[in-house]
Amino acid sequence: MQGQEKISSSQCLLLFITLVTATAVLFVPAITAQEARQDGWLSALVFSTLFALLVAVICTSLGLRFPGRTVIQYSPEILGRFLGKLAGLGYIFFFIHINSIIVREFGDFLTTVFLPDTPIDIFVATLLLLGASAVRNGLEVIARMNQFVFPLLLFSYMLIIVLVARDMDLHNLLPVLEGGIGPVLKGSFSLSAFRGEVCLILMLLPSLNNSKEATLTTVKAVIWIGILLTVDTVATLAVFGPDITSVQVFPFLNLARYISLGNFVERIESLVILIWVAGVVVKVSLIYYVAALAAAQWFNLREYRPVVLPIGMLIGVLSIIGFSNSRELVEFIAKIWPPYGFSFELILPTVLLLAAMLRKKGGTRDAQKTRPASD
Amino acid sequence: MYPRLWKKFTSLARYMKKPLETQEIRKENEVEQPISPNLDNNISMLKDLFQNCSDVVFREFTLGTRKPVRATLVYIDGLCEADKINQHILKSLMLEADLSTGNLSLDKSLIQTVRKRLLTIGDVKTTKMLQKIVTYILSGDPGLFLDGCATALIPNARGWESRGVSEPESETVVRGPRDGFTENLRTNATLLRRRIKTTRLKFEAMEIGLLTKTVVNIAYIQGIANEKVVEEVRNRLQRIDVDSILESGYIEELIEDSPFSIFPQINATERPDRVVSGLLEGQVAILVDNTPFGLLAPVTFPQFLQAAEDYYLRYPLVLFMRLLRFVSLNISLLLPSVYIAVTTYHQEMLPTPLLISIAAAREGVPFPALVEALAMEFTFEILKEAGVRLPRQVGQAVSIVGALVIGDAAVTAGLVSPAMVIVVSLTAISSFTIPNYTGSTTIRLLRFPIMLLAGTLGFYGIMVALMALLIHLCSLRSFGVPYLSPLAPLSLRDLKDTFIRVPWWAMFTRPRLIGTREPARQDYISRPGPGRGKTRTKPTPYSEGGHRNAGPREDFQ
Repeated sequence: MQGQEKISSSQCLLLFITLVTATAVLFVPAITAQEARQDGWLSALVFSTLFALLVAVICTSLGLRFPGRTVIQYSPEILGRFLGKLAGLGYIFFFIHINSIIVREFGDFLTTVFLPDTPIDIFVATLLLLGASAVRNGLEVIARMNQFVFPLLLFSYMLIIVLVARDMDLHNLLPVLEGGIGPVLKGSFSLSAFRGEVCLILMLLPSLNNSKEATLTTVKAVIWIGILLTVDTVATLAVFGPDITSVQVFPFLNLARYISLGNFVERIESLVILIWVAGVVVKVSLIYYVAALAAAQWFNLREYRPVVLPIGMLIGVLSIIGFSNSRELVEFIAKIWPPYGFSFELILPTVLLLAAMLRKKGGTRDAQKTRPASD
Repeated sequence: MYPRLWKKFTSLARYMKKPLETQEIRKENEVEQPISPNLDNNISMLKDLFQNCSDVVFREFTLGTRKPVRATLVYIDGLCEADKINQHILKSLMLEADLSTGNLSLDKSLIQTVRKRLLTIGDVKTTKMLQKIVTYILSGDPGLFLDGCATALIPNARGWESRGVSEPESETVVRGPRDGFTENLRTNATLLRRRIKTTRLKFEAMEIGLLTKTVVNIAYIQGIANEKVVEEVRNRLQRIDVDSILESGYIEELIEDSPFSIFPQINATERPDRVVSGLLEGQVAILVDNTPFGLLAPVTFPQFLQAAEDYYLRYPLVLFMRLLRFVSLNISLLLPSVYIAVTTYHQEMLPTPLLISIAAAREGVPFPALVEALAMEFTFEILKEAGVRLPRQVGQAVSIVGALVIGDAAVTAGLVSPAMVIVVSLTAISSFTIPNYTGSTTIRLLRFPIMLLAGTLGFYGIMVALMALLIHLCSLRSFGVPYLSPLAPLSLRDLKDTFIRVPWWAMFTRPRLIGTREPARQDYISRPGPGRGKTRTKPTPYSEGGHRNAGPREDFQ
């Protein structure tokens, strides 16, 4: 099943950057500013980066102990059959669930700002259909798609930052660390959980054509994401100030709305949304792929393609009935999402890694003994 | 109901997969009958086969040797050069035979003597099989039967009326060679050979089509083209089992990677210079007899935006032209959809004065923008199609009807808004800047589903369509090469010939995925300028330790 499709380290790097920034850029300034006020950029730059680095290092060192296999395949070996399969099931649920949250978020976003009269089901369905067709075509296609989309994302991102530069007032960022380190830490919780999505490397590691570079690639991705999100937060805070930023839902979009050039280039947020749609398609496809792959491996299927549509159904239904309104989603993301995300992104991999080290399962990183595939 | 339907479906599928019964013609082709030593037997058999073929000529004569030998020349009138038949076959055999054979005994080696001493023709083949000689006769070679010989001679005297080399009509250039392929395979191969003078240029011949027996040539430069691709092309061509190949389009459809895709995965071109530049980059060309279109594979999507002229004009101009073409591609794909989306869903995106003028123009129009756009675009397609099909003499009528009736009168009558006419004309014109005909038609066709999505979901619909398109393009491959390369997978080095074309002195390498065998194109010394006359030697990055020309490369052996 795996082993046929390989992506390069640079493709993986770009995938991770799109994976996190595609959605995070839109609302990160707001969620960090709610707690950390004008120090929101510190949350983005320091604490969430540290957390994501921890995730990256733990997940890759866990994965590198078992070359050529995914977390679904090696967790039974570490924890024993029952607990290991349970952990695998947990991951499948986690992937499906976060994907449904992203789809829902995306749908809510579009119904709010773009096409208010269109039912959310339409957005969910089209997004998942696109995702399904990408997933059926495989990881390589998703990676290539991203190589096409990523420059557009980066370009539109930089365009907005450059065009609002004249409205920025960096005094809005002062005073630094007014309330001490506490609020900054609090402000980075939710963001950290989003950035911990790089834990997908647990499933993607066998698909890298140079798995030795996995740690470096993931760390690079985390740092790049940190820089992009920090610039984003700084720009938003500098333009709007902490008060206005914290009450907005999608501050970056309002930033785009703010642009007015020669009375002609106005309201370019529609174009921004469009390019962001492309990013979200990549993001959803990637997590969707990982979910399908995980499910197929959990059931010991030879091919993941038969489970693509059922998984898509689950994601779609979960995203529609999971939350009764968009306020509930916001609450979920603020309150439940951080501990929920931490447990799968950091705690469970740590437990697996410790257990593997204690029980001496899997090769060390240097030895990389290739074990027989069947166990 | 559902299982029954399923059963029906599977039985239908099974029926379609069932091998067809071997037919008479197929059996006839597999017959292998040797030529008999008796001339009369052979002739009567041939006359049987060529019954009612009034274009076949049986010329019976006697060899002018000391000991007369009866002979018969069989050929098809019009497929052979009469001059060659008369001067080099009949005259040599009948009048001059005695001079050159003299006292030689002819009993044992008649065939060899005739071949070596009498026939003054370049290429003379021999065969012992009747079916084979029939095929040769049908291809235009005369068959020479001698009494007492179980072997027939086939002197090459092919020659028939064909169109001369003329300017290719579907790909015109301002600057560049004006010769185009013709219907004659040999002429086409010559056009390539005249441009590449190396023994590495190969033409592998094969015959495809049960009845048409069309000659197909695989052309490639050994050492530059990837052998795996050549092998794949060869295999795919050999797998073809159809009764006829009338145009290279048949071959194209029979060997492409994704038969259900709307995108062309093989480039068809009328220009020999284009084929040659493809060969030099490592592509494989397929030339088909009776077709003025050569095929090039593997191909990538950006290549459909490259015109032959891009390589002859100065490179700064090319940058501009490629940019223009890229913008036109987007216009022809998206402009009507964007117009629909903006006027229907996203009016806020337009500056107010522009919005007002569009709204004022649309005021009297009775249709929603989607219907208006679909109708107008469809009308344009009709005009275009009519323009191609109409006899030249009535071509004027189309332009009058198009410009006056549909353009002007429709606006005056208030059926469509002037803005829509502008949108449609701009779209139409833009689509013709795409140098490849198939490519531009594909883009124009794709416009319609995107328009429908734009009419239902606005910009989001356009984006959904584009993403679906992107997913499809990313999954396509042409003979193993990703269709969107060098964009995705990204190859920075190959961007030198995608949106820009670097000057020729900086074109150091061939495309990474196509020309893998011999990546280096030239050395770093070609850059012109005063004082640069002397040759600098600098190792190329692709040869390890030493100059590229220092000796034969190992993999060339």
